[in-house]
Amino acid sequence: MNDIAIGCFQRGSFNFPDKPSSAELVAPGEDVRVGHQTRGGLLRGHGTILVSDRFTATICGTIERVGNLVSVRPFRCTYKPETGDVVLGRVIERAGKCWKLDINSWQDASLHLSAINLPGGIPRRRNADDELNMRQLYDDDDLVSAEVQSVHRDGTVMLHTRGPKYGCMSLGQLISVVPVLVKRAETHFHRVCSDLKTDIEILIGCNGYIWVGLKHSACFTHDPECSKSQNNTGGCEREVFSTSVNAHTRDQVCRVASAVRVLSMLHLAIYPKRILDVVDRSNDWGVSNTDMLRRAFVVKFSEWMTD
Amino acid sequence: MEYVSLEGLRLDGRRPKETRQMRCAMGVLPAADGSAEFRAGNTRVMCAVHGPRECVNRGERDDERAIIKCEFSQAAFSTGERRARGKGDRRSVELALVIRQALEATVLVHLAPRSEINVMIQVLQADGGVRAAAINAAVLAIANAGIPMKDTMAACSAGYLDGTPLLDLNYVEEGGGGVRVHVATHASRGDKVVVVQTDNKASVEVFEPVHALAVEGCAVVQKVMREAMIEHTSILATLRGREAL
Repeated sequence: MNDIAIGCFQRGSFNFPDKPSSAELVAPGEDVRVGHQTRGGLLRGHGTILVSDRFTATICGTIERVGNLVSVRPFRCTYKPETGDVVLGRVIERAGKCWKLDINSWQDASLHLSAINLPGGIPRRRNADDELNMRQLYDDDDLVSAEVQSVHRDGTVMLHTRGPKYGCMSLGQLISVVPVLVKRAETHFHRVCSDLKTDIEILIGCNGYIWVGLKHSACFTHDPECSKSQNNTGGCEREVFSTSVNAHTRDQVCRVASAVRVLSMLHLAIYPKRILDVVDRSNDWGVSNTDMLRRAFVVKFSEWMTD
Repeated sequence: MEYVSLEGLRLDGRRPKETRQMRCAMGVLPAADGSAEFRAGNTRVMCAVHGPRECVNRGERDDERAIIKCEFSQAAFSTGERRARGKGDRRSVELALVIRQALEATVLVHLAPRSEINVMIQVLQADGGVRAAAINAAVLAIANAGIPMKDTMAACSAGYLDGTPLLDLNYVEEGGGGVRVHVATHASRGDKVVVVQTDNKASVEVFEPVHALAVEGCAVVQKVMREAMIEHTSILATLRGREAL
């Protein structure tokens, strides 16, 4: 939270529909009150503990009530994986038949060798060879889009990259934001046209890792015919690193990435329409790519937002 | 030296049972998961929290709970006399240990097993009450990172000079040679005391009123910290919007 965001809040707090009342806000150690009740017939949810027969908050946030379940919702916290979440992860190491991925959570997730689609859809031969060749699929420090397959009782997270959508990311950049800014949605893969020429892909991972890059033949192809013709579907395409990208396209990718950073600076929820709003405003106002993260533009955008 | 004047005022014009003006700022470091700055008078302490995240050192990993790692360092420019102070000297190591133990009693560590929480504390200006300010900054930063805690732990120090118990000593008063008591409490859980430390010898007759005064001070500090947390959360909630996650 920086002073620009505080300024945005002070200017526009009347225009934001969701301003919580002081009764809804709690800090750690305060009683969680719903009406006059503090206990009777209520269920204890996240962010609360039971202290001498009263619900007490353990985090800063707003009191949320769903039926009888009372919980405190934080507005800044570590990512908590749930089954079905689309996440981006960075490969940390290989441990036996698993890759360990950093997913911005309190522990690393594992991606099992049997939970991925091999390049070209070839069925996997279970032998020692494919374990030795794991590096050719995902190497250390590769960025991989994946889905949370299951979360075990002890908190271990299993990922999978089955399907044409998931795989290694290249030709773009990664931005890390606070996970609460990302809403869980039906689709997390978005294609935006920042102008008529370039298609830019945005992958908004539930874990707060956001990928902005070029249309990626392997990761973003939904057409099965197309994926068959590709030699490397679902796996990592190493040859793309040698692809040359013209300056205009790179500029467009950076512009979209800067737009995400602007939203993150202002602690505003991040979704494609809003990202495009920032890109459009920067184009309308003739702000160059390098000036987008400067104070002047961020303040001007926050003023535009609140009007 | 006269620490309490005949009118009952201290060197900086406070009454004996008055704290210095406190200010809390949260989210001051964008790169950290949680950060805060706590100021009491001229004392300024900054804290950054990273985590909970995967344990770097496998040997330290605990399958039942998160481990807390604490680092305390004081800037060379933090006192009147410039002196290089590392994080390896005896005082820093001891302070880091005290803060770590206090945090382990406050943070709900069992909610993030096999992970670690890094707490980095840096003193920018030292004008007395560094120990208490460091604990307060750490608690604010942890709250900012969204890590669950039993209560808003607050710390305060008190001393005994010129036959009077004094709350929240400044640098000059700390050098006065009297008893000093540092206390951290869970004030909303019936003033549950988490940390008590004393410098210099104290008789029971002196210790008790000084300790009681420090505990009272903690409740005042907690109130200030809570207000800062609520205000900060209000801003975050308004900007983020309340649409479902």
